[in-house]
Amino acid sequence: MLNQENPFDMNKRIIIPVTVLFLTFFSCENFLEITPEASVTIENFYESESDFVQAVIGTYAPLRDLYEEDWEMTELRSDNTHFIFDIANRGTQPTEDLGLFTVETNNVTVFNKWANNYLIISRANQILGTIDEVDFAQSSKDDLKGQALFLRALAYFDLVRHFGGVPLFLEPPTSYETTFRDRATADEVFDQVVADAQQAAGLLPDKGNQAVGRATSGAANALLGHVYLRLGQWADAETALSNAEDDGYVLLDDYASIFEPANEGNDEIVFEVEYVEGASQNMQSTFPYSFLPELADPAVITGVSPAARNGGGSFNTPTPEMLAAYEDGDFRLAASVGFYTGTSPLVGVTYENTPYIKKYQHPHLIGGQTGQNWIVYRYADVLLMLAEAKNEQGETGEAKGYVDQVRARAGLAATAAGTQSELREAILQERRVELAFENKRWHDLVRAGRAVEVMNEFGSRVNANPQEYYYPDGNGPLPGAFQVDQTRLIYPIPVSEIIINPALNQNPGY
Amino acid sequence: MIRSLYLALMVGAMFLSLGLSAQRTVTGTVTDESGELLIGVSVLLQGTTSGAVTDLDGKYSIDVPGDDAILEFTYVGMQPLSVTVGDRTTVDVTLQSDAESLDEVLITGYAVQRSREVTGAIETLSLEDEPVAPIAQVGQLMQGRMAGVRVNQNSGRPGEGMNFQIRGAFSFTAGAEPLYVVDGMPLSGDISFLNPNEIENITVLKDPAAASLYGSRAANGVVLVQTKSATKGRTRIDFNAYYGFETVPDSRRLDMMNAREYAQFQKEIAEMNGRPVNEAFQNPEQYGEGTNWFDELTRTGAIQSYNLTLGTSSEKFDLTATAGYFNQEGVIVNTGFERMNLRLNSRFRASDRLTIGLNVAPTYTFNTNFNTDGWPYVTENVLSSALITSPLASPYNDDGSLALTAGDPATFPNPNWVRVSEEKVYEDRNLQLLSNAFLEFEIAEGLTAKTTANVQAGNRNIFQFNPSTIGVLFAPPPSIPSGSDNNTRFYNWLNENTLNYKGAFGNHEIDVLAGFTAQRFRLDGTLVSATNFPDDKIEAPVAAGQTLVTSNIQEWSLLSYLGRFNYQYKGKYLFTASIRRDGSSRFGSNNRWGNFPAVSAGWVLSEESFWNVKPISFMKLRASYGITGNFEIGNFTHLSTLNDVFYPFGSGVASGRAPNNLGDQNLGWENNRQFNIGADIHLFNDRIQLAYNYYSRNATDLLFNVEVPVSSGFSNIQTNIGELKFWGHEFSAFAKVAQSKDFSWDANFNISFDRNRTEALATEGGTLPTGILLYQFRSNLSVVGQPIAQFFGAVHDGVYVDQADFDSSPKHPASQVGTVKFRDLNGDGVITFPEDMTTIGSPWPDFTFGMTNNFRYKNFNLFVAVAGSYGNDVLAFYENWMGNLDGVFNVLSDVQNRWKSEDDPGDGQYGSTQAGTTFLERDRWNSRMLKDGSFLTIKNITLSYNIPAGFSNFLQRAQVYVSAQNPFIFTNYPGPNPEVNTQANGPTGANQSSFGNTPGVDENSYPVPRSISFGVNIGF
Repeated sequence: MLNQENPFDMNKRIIIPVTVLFLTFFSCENFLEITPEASVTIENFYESESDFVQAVIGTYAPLRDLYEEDWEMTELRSDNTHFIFDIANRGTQPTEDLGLFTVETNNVTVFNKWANNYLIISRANQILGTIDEVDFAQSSKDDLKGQALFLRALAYFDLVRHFGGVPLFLEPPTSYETTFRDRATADEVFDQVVADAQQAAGLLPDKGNQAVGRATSGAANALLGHVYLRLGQWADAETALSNAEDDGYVLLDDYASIFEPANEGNDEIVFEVEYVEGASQNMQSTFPYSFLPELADPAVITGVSPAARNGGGSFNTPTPEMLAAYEDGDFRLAASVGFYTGTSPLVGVTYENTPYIKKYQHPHLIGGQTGQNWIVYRYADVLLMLAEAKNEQGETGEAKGYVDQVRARAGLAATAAGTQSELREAILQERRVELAFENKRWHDLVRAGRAVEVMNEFGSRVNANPQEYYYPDGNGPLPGAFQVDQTRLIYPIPVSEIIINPALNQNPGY
Repeated sequence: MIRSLYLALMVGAMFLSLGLSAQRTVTGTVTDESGELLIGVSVLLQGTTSGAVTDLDGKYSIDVPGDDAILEFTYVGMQPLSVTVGDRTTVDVTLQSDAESLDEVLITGYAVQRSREVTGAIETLSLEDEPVAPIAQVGQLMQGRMAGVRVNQNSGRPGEGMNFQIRGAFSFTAGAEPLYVVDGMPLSGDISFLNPNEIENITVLKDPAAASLYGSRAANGVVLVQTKSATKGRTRIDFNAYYGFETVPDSRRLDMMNAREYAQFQKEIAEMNGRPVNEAFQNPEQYGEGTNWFDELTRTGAIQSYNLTLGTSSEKFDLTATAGYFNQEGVIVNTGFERMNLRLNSRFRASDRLTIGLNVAPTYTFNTNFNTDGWPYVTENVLSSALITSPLASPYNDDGSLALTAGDPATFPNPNWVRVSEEKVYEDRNLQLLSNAFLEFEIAEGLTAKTTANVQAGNRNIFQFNPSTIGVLFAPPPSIPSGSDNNTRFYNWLNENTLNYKGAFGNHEIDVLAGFTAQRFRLDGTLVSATNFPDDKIEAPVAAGQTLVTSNIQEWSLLSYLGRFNYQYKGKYLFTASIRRDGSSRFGSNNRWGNFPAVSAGWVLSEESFWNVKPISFMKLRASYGITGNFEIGNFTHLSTLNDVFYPFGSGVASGRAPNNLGDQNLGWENNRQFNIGADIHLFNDRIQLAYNYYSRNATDLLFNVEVPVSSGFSNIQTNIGELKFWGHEFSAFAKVAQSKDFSWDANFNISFDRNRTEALATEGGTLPTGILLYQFRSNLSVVGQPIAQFFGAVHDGVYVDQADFDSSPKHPASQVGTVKFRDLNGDGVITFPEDMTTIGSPWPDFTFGMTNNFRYKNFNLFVAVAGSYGNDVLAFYENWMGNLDGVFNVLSDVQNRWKSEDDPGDGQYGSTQAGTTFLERDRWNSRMLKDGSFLTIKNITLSYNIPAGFSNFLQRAQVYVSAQNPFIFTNYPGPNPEVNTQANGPTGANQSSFGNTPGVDENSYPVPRSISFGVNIGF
């Protein structure tokens, strides 16, 4: 039934909706372009100085997680520390495996170290790949580039020491295919570390001209020297470490004050990983609570309430041989180790003068969190590395001088060592007590070629008398613990990586 | 309001009778084909609004103007009938049943078709003639009713837990759920918020020919829901109410040790490990049953619902209003779900050509379902945590107050989980609005233009507070209070514009549709995490010592063009072709648009002149082929993005940025090509109806967030990564087995055989690990040439029964005599992982089936619905914590049969409690954790009684009923719910749970209760 009205009207009735439809056709593409409002895209980033400042801050971020756990794969694996066995909580078994040489390929701490280091590397690669094209002040550019290079070198050094040759990424991946890379040789990785650290040392400002917590030329040189020592290139090590020595660092008078949070960034510290308590973004460190014996209320030692039970504590407990390594009159013992007597919530355990690491225990505000930083390199370490470099080149007299500086600060007389081999022993021993619980001991043993021998002997002592090493009556290490051979000097590649990329070869013995 | 409506009716009737008093009155009786009187049949005088309704004796009385008056009889569930009065004063009619009648009108996505004309694979469920069953969620109505549509109840959580799977759909990405469309609006989210009383029918589109007009999102099928609208000429007032109780039957509980068995267990562990036995365990006989934590945590819950539906229709205006209130107390203490719905559906016929419609439906839900499902490690998941709590501990102190902790000397003190359930504050409030408006204009004969505007908008707030009196495993109270406040607001709007032409040229009928749609979605969320509250007095985040705020902004948009051409010749030859072109913001500009065509044809053999196979009253063969898409990926995953990271320099915190997503600009649509052939056969005049479908679907360019080596700095990338194949057979049969005045029996049976296979994978390793991560190994693996996502683990081969067995068998470094023995699959003499792992089982059933039976005897009606599945495995992940042999938790009662010594080797399931050896059998996926998940469940038994005529003058119909939901489950599966599946919201930590879609994993989920309700349905 058509209405007998103006036919033009009827056309209008068709035209208007059709035109509307038509018009909407043309505004198509804009409708489908949506940019995220809660994150930045890569197209809009790495374009200005401010972007690179933020990117560099992002590159430091994984250090926090890395050093919360680094001690598990280093200090715990050495003869400096062991753990108090908790019968009830077998969830900590993977951590115990690291100290017992029974690591499996699916170990979570091993995976975390791998993953966190590669986060640093990938972020540094993004910066280094784009920073040269952007125009801004050269001094700022050098500083930012130097920091990225230092962090990349630190990360690859950590990887090659723990895993051997690893995939060498120097550019960010852009697609599925480019995320796969085969393992490079250990030599290739070391070469890259040296190149990056050298370049960083040239670009970075020294400590006096750099913000607290950031990489400095001294840090880069200390790292470089450390790498050369590991490679046996003594002369190069000496050069790098001397450069670090000249940067105005001092040995503080009071050993304990080096580690106090109030003394953050003091003149002995060359490079440390930063933590702060009470921040809403969770920037705190919790490792001091892991080093305390496990207590229902840790406030009995820390004095900070309220605090929940420090589950997963009682790790990194100093061994009897660690305690015996301190000479009489050494100020460092009282500063580094505390003793606790009391009840334990762990089955079959009572604390009777049980030692714990004290050098990281300081007053703080909130239970369970601290602002304790982790020192990666400090001046005493640089001096002892210099001593080692010089001693290996035959300059025993000068080397001895450095060792004595460190000993003097600890209230000890000059070392009795005279010959090169005696001094070599003395340096190893001095590093043990000076840098106790700072994640140096395991790598020192590996570098000295003594790890297999020392840890096998340690293992037989633990197996012979487990109660001395904090096992409750009737318990001891797993069968198969402490079978240490050359293959155990490095860790297995995480099995999840191999499942995803079967072209990766696992380390021998795993 | 009811009174005034009634008054209006009376007045109207009076006027009518006054005006037409000169005409004659016609009376009659209306019956159905079995002679049964039909009450409430609408009798309309054609061309007027004058009508009548049959009374309790099936009689009507109406005034007609003359002999040529035509009376239209309509009744729910019956075919409408038009009768010319002629010279009669008494017109008796018999109405034919409409059950799946060929002229039944179906809504099939942008179109309305008759059942006989459909060429695609479709299932429908009409709720007009259903007794309103006391179910909480729409999904429960559909269980076992439709071939190829699996509706699983994964969890008994009130208001949640229904999972839809059409034709065995599976996707590695966010889910394999179908697209839900309500009144033409594709929803964001699922349909659990809908009030079942609002629904008129549900149609499921299973193949691309049916689903093609939803092209880009229809790969997993489409569920169309149509809400109630008024029937012409009738006014209705319906009131439905029910009240019931839910409990968890004993058969649906895991069997844990009681106090005596547990003390004995602890004593034996200490003795085996050479430790002194704690005095609490020295004398196990002193203990009785102890605390049954499952009993303490569960209760009888009440479930109730009240619903009112009003509908009125006139020539110009229809209105249906539904208001409902639903409340379900969960069977776990302090959980529950409450829902209030209101819906107004209206339609206004402005002129002969113009129709305007408006639906408005606000919904408010409130639930207190805190985390109950999932593993117990350092989480608040009360179910698993409570089950493993020591039976020696009581939740109550001596004075009857709730204890703070619950433990014994061998375990650590843990929270009292009853107290956690009662004192944890969890409030989830969700206010949603669903609204549709349309304008339909008939431009010329057969040519209609329609434009719709639809919106779904909502605001959800989840407030949580953990007081100091609650805690988690390993960290018992008193703890430092914390809380969170999560607010999300979203909107989803859709505009559709279509032009439709229907015409007939001789015996040829065509129906052409063209259209254009635009849709946009946006969500803004703010989460405030608050920690370090000083005490429990103030719960709002303002009192917290430390707060962290994060934002979540999601947005996507979709543009589409669609067209469809339908052709019919004499109702015998049917042909449909359609295409949809979609552009989505989720893809890079290289690949933004996708085309989704489909074509289908049907041949109604029974219409052919040569057809004379007598019993077969209707036979149709049909075939279809089409392409549908899937775009369920993140909104911005094709982009490389950076997010905020922080580092503290000195005493302040510096903000930095780091890349968090590796984008793929070449990311494109996932394509599904599906082929379907089917046949519909009706026998004996529709008394027996059979349907068969065979389908085959290839999913190519599979979208998946595939893992990459973390040495790249990223952990995964969203890319197109492979090809899967799905195929299967579906049969369904419906029969009116018996039909007489006093007794009738309708039976419905369906069975589907669904299969799948991985065809190709472009991952570097050629396999795809997915599922739950347990100590770095994933629970599922897809291998080319085998079924998708099979369970992957070691093969459990008993235990090393004695020294000789131990010496002669391959071992793991931690193995000893009495510990678990795995099979050495690569023959190298040692047990290592993953070398000694393989595919050990499959979550896919051999077949699924359903059956419903409706018996009627005089005024009684008995309805029974059954659903089942056969051949699927379930991975009982709960064995990890409930089979822990270190004595730190309570364990399954079966652990009593473990290996105790060479003289007492047990049944080979559980191994030795020797310290240091126990982790292997629980911390590595293995075949002991696989159980047979086959089941047959009686979903619903409802006995109802229609109160006969004469009960009341006001009531047109009244029905009372008693109904049982999930009364019986027949299964060998030991866990509480064989339909279990793990949801993707597990805890974080070293052993991350639930990666993507992991079918068939049991992490201790909320039990599915048995409920019994009493209800009444009244119509005025």
